[in-house]
Amino acid sequence: MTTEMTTDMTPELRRRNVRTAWLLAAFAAFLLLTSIPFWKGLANMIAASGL
Amino acid sequence: MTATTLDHAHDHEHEHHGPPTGIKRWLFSTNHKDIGTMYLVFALIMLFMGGASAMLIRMELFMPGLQLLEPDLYNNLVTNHALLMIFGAVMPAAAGMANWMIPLMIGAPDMALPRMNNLSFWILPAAGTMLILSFVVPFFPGGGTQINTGWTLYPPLSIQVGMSMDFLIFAIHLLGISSVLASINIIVTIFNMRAPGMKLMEMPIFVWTWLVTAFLLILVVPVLAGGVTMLLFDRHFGTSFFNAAGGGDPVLFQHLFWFFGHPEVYILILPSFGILAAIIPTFSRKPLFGYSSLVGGMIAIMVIGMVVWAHHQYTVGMSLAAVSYFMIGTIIISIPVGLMVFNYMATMWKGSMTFETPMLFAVAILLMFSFGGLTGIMLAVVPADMQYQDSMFVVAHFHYVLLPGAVFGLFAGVFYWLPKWTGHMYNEKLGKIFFWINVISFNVTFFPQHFIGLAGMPRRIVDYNVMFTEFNMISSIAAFVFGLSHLLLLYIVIDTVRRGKQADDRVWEGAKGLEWDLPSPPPFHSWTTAPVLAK
Repeated sequence: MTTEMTTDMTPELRRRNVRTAWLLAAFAAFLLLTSIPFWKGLANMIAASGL
Repeated sequence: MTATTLDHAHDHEHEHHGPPTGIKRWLFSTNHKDIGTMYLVFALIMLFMGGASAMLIRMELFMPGLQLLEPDLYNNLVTNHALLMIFGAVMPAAAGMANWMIPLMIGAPDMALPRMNNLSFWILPAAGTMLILSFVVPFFPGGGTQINTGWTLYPPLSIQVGMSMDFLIFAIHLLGISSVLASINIIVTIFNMRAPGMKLMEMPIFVWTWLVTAFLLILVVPVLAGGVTMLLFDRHFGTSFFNAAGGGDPVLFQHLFWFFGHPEVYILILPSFGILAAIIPTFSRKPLFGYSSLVGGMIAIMVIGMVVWAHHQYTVGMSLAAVSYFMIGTIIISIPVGLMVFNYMATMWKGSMTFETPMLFAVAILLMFSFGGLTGIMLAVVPADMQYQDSMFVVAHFHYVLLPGAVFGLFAGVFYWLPKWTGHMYNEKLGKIFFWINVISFNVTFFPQHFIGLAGMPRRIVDYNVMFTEFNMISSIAAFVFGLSHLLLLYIVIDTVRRGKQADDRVWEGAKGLEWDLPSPPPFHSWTTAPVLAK
């Protein structure tokens, strides 16, 4: 079900909204992956296990 | 800023179609007002559940010794209370108001991504269920131990807790996804959906506070998600991120948690400060004082608030240089926060003030939040904090910050906008009675906790020395009054919806802004044609 709001948007505005949203989502994902030493720790663990 | 509302006829045409009926209206809703309402109802339910756990805590603390609760259950309730109130009540309530008001205030027909808006909300009941299960699971056979870590989930204790911790980690992941999706939607809406001609520096301050809050959420929630994921790996997949025996560092979790946890305070407070920016000029009948400095102040709060997190960890053994930096940074943050408070006071100065319920809350917030801020400066000072930390003084401090700074602000917003949302005026007399009972009982509950904390009563411990009995009794009795007073709030809301007098479009005499140009309640589809701004 959609409201008329979604159809009221011009395709250009809708594209712009989705593009901005993806940018922000990528930023959030970047923070998730880089702001913590998660991958470093994981790599250390893999190295220590001799894989 | 006002608007010529050329599109009312068009809005009424839309209204003839009417909203979808039945359960589908709510399950599949992409309408910002319906989703806002669902957020608010969800928050109210969680407020009562979190409040029930608080009342159980106060029942136990009514007298020294073990009265009702085992120590683990007591700590489970402490954890439960914090998580339900922060993630279940305050954040969803603020998101509900953002959903309702941002499109109305900026002249947008809806949120930028309406389907994602639906998803953001409907993740919440699932997350709430997981959250509640994490407290309940230990009571079933094989359910493991209770979560006795407090909301901070510090390892190594959180690694040793039973499977309930896994439910909680999953709940935090879901809550985080919901928050990030909602934040993305809010930012995109504010950036792309403003009425033609509305510049960023012309937006209402409430919208600005949400822009800053949404960015804060995107910046810090992924870090919490990472931290609890590492916790999950330590619990089940043999890693040792936080396990000292395996070469890990438990203090690392504290850094990750508080990198989220401290900005979270501003995430809770800023939307309420945005509500004050709408209420105070209305009831002072004066324009808001210092618009640009308010915007600058909240951006400063965001930036500085993100780099002072370790003042929550002074006692873990950081270097002198580190604690000095975090102390100075923390004290500096009182400047932009103070600036916001002074701007609101300057707005009231020489205004034609009246004291309807929202304004009563606004004035009370400025007084009580400032008091909470002052005890915050005491706690920011390293040698003093070494004495105060983990005492009831800290409990008193953060309740003085979060209840006035966040919860009372939301109450003020409910009373301010309820006539606009429902089309009905609330009972002003009942509103004022609620205000006075609420504010007096809040102060009687938490003010004595400063003294017993300074005298040495630790927090998060079920029992206490008999010398603290009298103040704890006072605190508990007032807490019951405070808790029960919220039933009056519920009654007022139901009474308004059912029997309230018809509200005017411009409900309050001094109210300015696009939202007041719409009918009360606004049509199901509002601003289907962008408003023309009259400057």
